[in-house]
Amino acid sequence: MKTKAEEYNSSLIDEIFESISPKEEKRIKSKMLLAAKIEDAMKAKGWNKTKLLEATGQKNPSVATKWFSGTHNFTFDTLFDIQEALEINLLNIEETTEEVVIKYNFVVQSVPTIYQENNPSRVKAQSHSQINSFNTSMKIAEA
Amino acid sequence: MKYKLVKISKFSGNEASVYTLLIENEQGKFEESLFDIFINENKTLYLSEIKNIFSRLKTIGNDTGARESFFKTNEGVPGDGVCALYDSPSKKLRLYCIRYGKELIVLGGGGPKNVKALQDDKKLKKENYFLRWLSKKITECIRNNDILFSNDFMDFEGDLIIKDDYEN
Repeated sequence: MKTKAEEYNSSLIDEIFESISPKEEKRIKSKMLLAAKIEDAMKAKGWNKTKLLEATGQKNPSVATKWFSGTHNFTFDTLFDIQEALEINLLNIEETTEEVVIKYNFVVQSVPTIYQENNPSRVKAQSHSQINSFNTSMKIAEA
Repeated sequence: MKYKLVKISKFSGNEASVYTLLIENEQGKFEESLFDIFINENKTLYLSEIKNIFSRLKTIGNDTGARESFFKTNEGVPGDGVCALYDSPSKKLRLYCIRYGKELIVLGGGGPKNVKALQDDKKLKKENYFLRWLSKKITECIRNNDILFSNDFMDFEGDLIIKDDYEN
């Protein structure tokens, strides 16, 4: 029989967790996510550490290990070089304008002329209903 | 003496599960964990490093998984997965773990490293060699089908009590 692991917690673990400031936790998490982003971008390009170091003008082979450790304090210049080499956005300093495009679809039914001539009252009622439904769509789109 | 593998819920998340080991006491109960012992031993002198390791473990569990690059690998014998977690390389405190891919880690003990080789420090050697032994025992249990990985490799299942005595 497959027995699942018991979940464990302790008052000591809770106590330490409570003493960690959200800002410090966020700082550590950001460092680790940055390291992961760089490593993933390097792999996505099909590069290894040596290739990345070449592309960023680094000579010390142990530097990449530090970069990926999630503990490294990067300088602006290093981040800029990595960003340019891997063609990713790490610094995000340029203001960007976001273009929002709203698309909507509506159906326009065309009624054959011969039908209109033979059923003038029905055509009038149908057209009225189509205009109403079109206006409703426009209002939704504008909202 | 018996040891029980348990999952620390506060660190575990969608990306990785974090386990530790409960040690059987003289009354036959499993109460204190290796990780709690590690915290108690080091919280007075290395509290900021412990807090850092806590945040790192939480991020590993919930956001990044146990990426190899976040650990100092090859701290045991080849293939046993024993590695170390630390605040930053310049800091002293080391927490030894066993890493099973990006999905699962087992936390052991550790201590401050003030020597070049861990074998030069009695305490570090003891903690590290215990994890080497534990890794070997878990591998044996997996081979005997006593311990299994869940389908997503994020959990251990089966008989999670290690019954052998550790011989130092």
